Amino acid sequence: MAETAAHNSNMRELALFKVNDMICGLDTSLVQEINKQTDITDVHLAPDYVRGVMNLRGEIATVIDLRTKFGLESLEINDEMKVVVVRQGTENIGLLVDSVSDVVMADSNEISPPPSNVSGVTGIFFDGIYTMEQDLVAVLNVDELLKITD
Amino acid sequence: MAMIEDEETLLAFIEESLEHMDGIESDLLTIEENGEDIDEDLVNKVFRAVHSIKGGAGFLGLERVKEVAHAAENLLNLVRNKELVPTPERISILLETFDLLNSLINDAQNSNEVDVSQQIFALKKAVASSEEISDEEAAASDDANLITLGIPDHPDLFSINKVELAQHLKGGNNLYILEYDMIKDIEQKDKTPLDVINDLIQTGNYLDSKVDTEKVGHLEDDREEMHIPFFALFATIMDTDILTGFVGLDESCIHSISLDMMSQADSASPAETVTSTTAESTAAAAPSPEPAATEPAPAPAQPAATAEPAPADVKPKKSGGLPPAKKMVKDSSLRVNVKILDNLMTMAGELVLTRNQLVQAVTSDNQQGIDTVSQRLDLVTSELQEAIMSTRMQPIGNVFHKFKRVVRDLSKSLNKQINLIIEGEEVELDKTIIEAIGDPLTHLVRNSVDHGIELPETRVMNGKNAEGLLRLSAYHEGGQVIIAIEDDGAGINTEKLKEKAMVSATYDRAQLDGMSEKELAKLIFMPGLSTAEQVTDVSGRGVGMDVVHTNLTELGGVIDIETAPGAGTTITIKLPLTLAIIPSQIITAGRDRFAIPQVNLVELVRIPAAQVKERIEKIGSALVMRLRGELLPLVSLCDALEIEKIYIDAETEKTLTDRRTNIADRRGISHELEEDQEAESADIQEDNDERRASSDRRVSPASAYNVVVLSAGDFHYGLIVDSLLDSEEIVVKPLGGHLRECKAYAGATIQGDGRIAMILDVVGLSNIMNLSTVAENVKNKMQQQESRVKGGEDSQTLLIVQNTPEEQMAIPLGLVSRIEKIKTTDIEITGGRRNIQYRGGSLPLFSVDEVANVGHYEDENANCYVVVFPIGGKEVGILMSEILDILDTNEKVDDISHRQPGILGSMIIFDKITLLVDLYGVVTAVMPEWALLTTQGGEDGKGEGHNVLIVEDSKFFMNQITEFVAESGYNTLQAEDGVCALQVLEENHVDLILTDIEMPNMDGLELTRRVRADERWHKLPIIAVTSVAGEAAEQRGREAGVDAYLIKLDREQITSKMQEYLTA
Repeated sequence: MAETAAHNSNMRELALFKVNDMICGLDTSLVQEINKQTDITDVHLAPDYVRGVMNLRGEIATVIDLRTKFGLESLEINDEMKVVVVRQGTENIGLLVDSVSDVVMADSNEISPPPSNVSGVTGIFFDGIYTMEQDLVAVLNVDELLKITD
Repeated sequence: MAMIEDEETLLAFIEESLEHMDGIESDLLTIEENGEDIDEDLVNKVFRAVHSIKGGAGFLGLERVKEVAHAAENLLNLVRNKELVPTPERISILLETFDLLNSLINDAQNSNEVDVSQQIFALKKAVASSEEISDEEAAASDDANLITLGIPDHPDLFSINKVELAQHLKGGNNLYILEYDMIKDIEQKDKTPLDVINDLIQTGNYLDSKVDTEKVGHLEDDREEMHIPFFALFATIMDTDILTGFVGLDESCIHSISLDMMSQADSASPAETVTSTTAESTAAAAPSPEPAATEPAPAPAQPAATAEPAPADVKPKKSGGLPPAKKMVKDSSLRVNVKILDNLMTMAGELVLTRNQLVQAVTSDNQQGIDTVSQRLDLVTSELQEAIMSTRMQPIGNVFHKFKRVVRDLSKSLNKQINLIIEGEEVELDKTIIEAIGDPLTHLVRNSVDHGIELPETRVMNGKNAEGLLRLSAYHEGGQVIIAIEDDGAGINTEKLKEKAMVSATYDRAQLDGMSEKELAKLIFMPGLSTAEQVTDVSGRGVGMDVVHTNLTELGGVIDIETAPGAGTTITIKLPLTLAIIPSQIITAGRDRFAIPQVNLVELVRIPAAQVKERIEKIGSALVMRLRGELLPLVSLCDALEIEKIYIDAETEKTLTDRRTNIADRRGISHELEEDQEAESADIQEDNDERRASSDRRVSPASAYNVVVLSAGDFHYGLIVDSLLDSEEIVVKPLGGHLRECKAYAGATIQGDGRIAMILDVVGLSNIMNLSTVAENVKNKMQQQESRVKGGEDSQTLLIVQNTPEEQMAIPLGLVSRIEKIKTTDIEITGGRRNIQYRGGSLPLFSVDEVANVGHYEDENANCYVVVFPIGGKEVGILMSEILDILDTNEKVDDISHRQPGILGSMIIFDKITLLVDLYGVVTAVMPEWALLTTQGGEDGKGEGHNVLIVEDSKFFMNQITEFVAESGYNTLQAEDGVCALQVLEENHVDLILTDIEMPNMDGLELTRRVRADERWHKLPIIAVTSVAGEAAEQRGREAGVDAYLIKLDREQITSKMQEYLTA
């Protein structure tokens, strides 16, 4: 499988990052960049899940805190944290994650629908579960994640 | 159908034609205004415009455009030759014609399918109606008068109206047919046929042009041999040899047309000779020249392929993905003055130089060099920015001009008479704003004409001029542009609006009753309330007014409305100069920085810790601030945005969270805090330390409040911020979709250090905090206060000062020449009197306690203030320890309780008894000899026997004035208003009148007019004394016939003027 990976149309490249102790995966084709700079300006009165805004090479990008989005306590900014920039329409949006770990190739066939116990409020944010040797990766549904709610 | 293949030529034509037509509307309207008295230059200008449109359209095969332009040209020609009078009817037809041309040209691709016969008929009729004036001209429109012109090879190239031709040949013009070759003479010289035509138009009379399609070569032909003749019919005074040089053609290609040929051609039946070619060939020819020239290969196929009859092809295929012409024109290009462009080039050059210097300085690590270069870079960048901005700026006249037409047409159809005045056309605004305000303004203007200004009969009945006035003006104010639309019509019926608002259930009665007229008028901007059917029935206004409001608000504009029933309506729009870069004030709150657009900024106020208590108070649960006698809703930005408050501890310099919650009542809170600390802290030593730290913080300058006074459209409010940083020009960046619901922000900006500052939306913020309700309550309170205060006395501007920290005093500002801050040590005591060296002389200093029984002024502070005023031809100063404020008040003066030498009376200001200082009293009590100086006239007995009538409604001022007039040796007569004054005049001999302006029954101006109108008194000197100073007031006074306009209590001026008039 490994040798044909790049050419196999069933293969997806996933960027892996951690939110709390959960490993999340995002199709790399959706990722614009991963930014180390986490100088985020607060936006008061913004929806809870918006951590703030950041200066992305002269553009103002909204940064969404995935922890808050998943119903977790948000953390003080630390060195491990990264901003995964994705594009929605004409706008760049940053996703604040705890750390970025790896990029892996995943066979689409091995991504199974999310089991019923991860459904519920946050369940809609996942496309499916990819099983790696040791870990389970939650593949994110970006559209759902970026939906504007309040 | 002639498919227009050559996009560039077409685009050039469209752009140019639109430009030609740009100013035509107003020109036509001016022509109409002038009537028979024709301004030839103007008519010529319009004529030339149509003419070149016709030329270009003919060339491009835009038949309909050409026909319409041609018909219009005929009419204009007759006007030009004074054979037709430009009556309003004719101008109307021409205006419609230009509208039609405009729409045809904007959609040039499809223009040939448009039926224009009606317009042409109308134009012809307009010409024909002049038949009784000139038969010959009437014939001009007749087809039978066509003659055919040609050269040997092409005998029937052009067919042209005889009369028209005769016009062109006036003044000894020769007629030529110029034979260009599309490839050799045009394409290879980097020109377009349109350029050629334009050149011709500029040098002579260009009549028509045509391309010979039959000559177009074939695919297999050698390119060298190919040639596509392009013929132009041209009349000029130039001879053949001069013309050769000018057009750059070989002599063989310039065919002079003699009158013989003309007559020959004339004899032939024009109808027949023309038929075969003219129509189709022009049409079919159009597409071929350019493609043939640029890419010879497909060209030969063209004529055949597209040779379908012109109008048959209803929907032309958009070949080459050409977008609709209209869109292409809209924002494709911008005309920039060459000077500006040159300037830009120079600056770009400088920028490059600066960069080189910078690189050099950095490489050689030359710090001083870097400093110099960075300064230079700053300079060049801002200049560059300014220059680039200026290319986007356009005069607002572009928008205003179209209203001449709108108003004219509307008033005509509504049978109203309206005088439209346009002011400030030259004011420039960003292109995007200019484009966007057109529609809202049209709406407002239409509303004014339609519903504001009444019918002439109604106006006359109401005692107004039959002709309504509509004024459109634009001017700069505080870095913004103000546009005002002002009419003297019926105004808005707010009562009916109120009813409608009730029905729509947006407001309840109590709310509505509490609203001022202005707020009620503003209801027309409410959505739902202003749908066409509803409000037009009611108030007559409001058709889409909510849309106007929304549009303007989106542009960053602020709209304001003022209306008076029966007197008219004024709508003012404040707009930023540009949207991209806005000057802003940077402020901080908590740990964050914010930008506030200067547009919304009214002023910055710092409330010292000591004044917090008296200047900030609570109404209900809301905070308000006192500012020059006005109450403003006040809100802390930290509260509004739910920001954690911080302060910097004075001792540890650590940033801590502020626990204060109450702003207004500081004393109570600090007490609470102390209790808190006492409870928490067991260690007494520590407690003391803490307490000191906390009290330090409270009296240190840092504990003063910084208030930014903002304008949220119809009201102002104060915003407490932590600190004020620079004022900066910021670039506005939009916020993402997730933040769209955050109404507190208008965007964000990136600052020099890369950090982001949010831009506050001043109106949004006030909505979040519901400040308009607060403003409402505040106003009610103010009104109550006002009604309490009102005693018929007019307001005065007073300087509020402190004599001693406990004692507040007031000085009429009108008497003060200057206020100086001096060092106490600079005061010298000479001959027992205080003096200070001042402007090369010495300034005698006085203090109020020298005369009056008031707190003793001590020179204990390092600095003090001197209020300088003139007396007896020299300046003196009164010492004060502090200057507090300047305010307008109509608080009643109590001239009994505290009356004493040096004190005129007292009044309540800031809830404190305030003594009104008698500047002259103080000085003359100390220096009686100076009093002699000022009233010498009286002492000499010159004043004796003269009767002075004093007209004044306020008892206090009456006493004041009477006193010093009597002191000057005049006899005084008193009257408490204009009516009484006239009575006194009837009964007594009066030599001079001193009158107040603001009085009940009859005011000073009216009194002056009456006196001037009466023969017995028309030479009587009249001096107006008032507290309402200012240019405009003075102007009104002079217009009424007042001889001099002086400030009340300015005893010196008044006596010297009286003397001047009475001894003259």
